[in-house]
Amino acid sequence: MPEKASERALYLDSKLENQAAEIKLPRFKEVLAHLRVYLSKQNLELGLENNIQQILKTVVKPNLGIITVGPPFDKGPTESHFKMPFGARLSFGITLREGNGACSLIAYRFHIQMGGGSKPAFYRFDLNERRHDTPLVEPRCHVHPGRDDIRLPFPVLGPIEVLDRIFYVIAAR
Amino acid sequence: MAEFISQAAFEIGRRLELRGLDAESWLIVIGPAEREPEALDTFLLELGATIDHPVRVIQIEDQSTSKISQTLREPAADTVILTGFGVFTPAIWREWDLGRSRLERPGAIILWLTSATLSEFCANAPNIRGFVGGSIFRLSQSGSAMTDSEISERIRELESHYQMSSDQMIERAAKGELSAEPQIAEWLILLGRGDLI
Repeated sequence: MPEKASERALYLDSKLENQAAEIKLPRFKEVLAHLRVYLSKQNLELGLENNIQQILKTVVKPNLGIITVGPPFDKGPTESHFKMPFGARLSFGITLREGNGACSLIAYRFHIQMGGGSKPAFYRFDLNERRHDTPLVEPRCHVHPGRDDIRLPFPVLGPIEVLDRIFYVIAAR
Repeated sequence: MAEFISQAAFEIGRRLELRGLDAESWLIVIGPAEREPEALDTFLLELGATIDHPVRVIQIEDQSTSKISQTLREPAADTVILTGFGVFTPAIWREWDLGRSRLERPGAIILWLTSATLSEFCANAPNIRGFVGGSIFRLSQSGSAMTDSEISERIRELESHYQMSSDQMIERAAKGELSAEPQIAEWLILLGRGDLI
């Protein structure tokens, strides 16, 4: 591994770490409410028939919570995916820590599986729970451009901001 | 008592938007009998996010219309959810019905009722009932919590993908031997082992 490249990656990863720490979200119930409304609006505007009440799921433990749509890994279409136009499907998982009336990001994964033979076949935005030993190959926050073994650093975003990129940038093409 | 349409907060908000948020609107939302404060809090959050417009809750208790009209006008154009009608007697409803003109305002008024208070309202406030018309909705339950079987199924998927049992995963997590993939954090929380995050 080239020494200087790995040093540069380490420096960038520390900045991603700081970004993650700086994102402050409202309390869990409010994050959930905003996601539910966001997906409902997309459902309406795109003329889709996803049952948001049914597919948006949570697990809440003392001061930790998960918000999910779809399965933990995309291995094919399921009833729990958010179905999008042109055969695409969305699944995600967001892990939050709640304290003092606010949430901080622990990890997330947003996977959009494209339909109709699109290339790349999928995009996945991952925020890992912590830094990797070799951030050049696995930055803490990264995007997979259609391959599980390629991870390109990506800014740490709030959940709605990631969904904006999925709905208004990727799926809109 | 007639059955009413079940609607989520988003759908109720859309109705308000279609009418115009500065149009005088009366709606009734029938909330659940159980865990009412939590349901109202969720409704408030989702309605506010849907219409992107100020929404506030006013606890009525046994206030007269003259008292409440002042509160309704400060400000006058937001969306207001009135709650706390459990203490209303038929006499108070009738007083409200007579003084209904004091409640008129440019912003929407949502009466948050239960099935029981709805009956009292319909019996004793026929004129306000006329304002409401067909806009009575039963709030559909958000129901987002994963069931035990859904959690078990999810754990099975994770065990299958990573080719290890949950016990093996916990052991490795405790030693710091696991990857930091988001699904591992989810797995730990599903097992109640968020202490290892």
